[in-house]
Amino acid sequence: MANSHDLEIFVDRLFANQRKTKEVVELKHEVLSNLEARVTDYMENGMEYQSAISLAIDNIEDIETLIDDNQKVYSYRFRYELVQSALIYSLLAWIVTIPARFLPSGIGVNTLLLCLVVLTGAVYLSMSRHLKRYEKRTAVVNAGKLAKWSKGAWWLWSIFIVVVSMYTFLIQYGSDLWFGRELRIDGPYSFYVTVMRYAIPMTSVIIPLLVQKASKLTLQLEVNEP
Amino acid sequence: MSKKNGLIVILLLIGIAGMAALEGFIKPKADEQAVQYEAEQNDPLTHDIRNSLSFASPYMGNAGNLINLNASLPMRDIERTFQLYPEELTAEIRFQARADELQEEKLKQLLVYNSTANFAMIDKLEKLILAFEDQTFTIRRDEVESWFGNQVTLASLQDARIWEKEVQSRLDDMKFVGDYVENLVERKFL
Repeated sequence: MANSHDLEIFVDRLFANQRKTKEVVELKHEVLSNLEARVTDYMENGMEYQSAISLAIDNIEDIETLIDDNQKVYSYRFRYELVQSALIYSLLAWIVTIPARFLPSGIGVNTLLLCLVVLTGAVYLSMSRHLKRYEKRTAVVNAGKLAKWSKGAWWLWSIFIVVVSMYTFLIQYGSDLWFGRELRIDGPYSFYVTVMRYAIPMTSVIIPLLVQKASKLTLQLEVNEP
Repeated sequence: MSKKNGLIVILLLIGIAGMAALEGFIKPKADEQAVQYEAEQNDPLTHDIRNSLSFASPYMGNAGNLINLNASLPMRDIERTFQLYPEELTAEIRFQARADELQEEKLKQLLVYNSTANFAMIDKLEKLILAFEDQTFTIRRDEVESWFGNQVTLASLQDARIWEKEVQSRLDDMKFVGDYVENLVERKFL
């Protein structure tokens, strides 16, 4: 009998980068039982344990070709939960930026977020009314593409934050650095202004969070057909 | 109500309460304090000289520094332009207001305070002209130096405690202020 622990480790690694959809989980079990059967078979024919494992693993095909990125999800529920998350994120961003309202840029961003709250709130309320009627609606979405977008969105946002923070730092302290002067923050108001300059752009984190949420929702709202 | 809807309602209430507290209470109070602070900084009796100390400079030709120094002193609320005469080590501040619109007592206090501050902070400034639309006031460094005597040099007034003792606290004494203006300030009506 093959040592199934070694094979489990191998299969876990093989599927490490795959989404945990029902289809993928089933495929993973199938691959594992297939490998176990092969190893058992090779050993019964007199092969050494390690050689049997190596041979079985060598014969495994590329799993990428076996996994379909298109996935059937409850489409209305998907949009409904995405709007719900958008409302929660914009509410959080709006609350967090309320203390920024002492600055003109803070008033601008906070008011914009308030508008976003009102807009997403209105859409959410409207969708809530029709949820029961359209709850079972389904559609096929490219979940693989969404997962890639999620990673891409985080990368783009990280680059954006680094660039904006560096720009803000150079605008504020560039001449001090150039002339070798001490970097100073004069008092609590100056500290507040400095912190806000860096903190306000951070509210854009709601964009990658939403893309990530969309990607996760494809797993949670997958249609499980018998 | 689902957990998430409950969370939305709680967040909405927190946001509305935060906004109401900020716009209805914290900001008006801060604005009030800012107005009060600004009024204090415009009055020679309550001005905080520490805000002006960073503009101390040996040179009178540094226009930016002179502008910033006077923006930190009383009369900062009056629109003004600057004219420098580097060959004569003279600076002229042209206020877009009439001197006779200011209370005479307050005007004298302002003349003492601002002229002394300019000479104390800018080492090579020899003559200061404060020009209003109806009058000009000319003050010379050597006369101000003599007025304060050997005990108090103009450079020593860059120490806030000495400034408060030797200049600011004496502005209540209208004899001191009156004598300064009468003896040191050349007043011309236009």
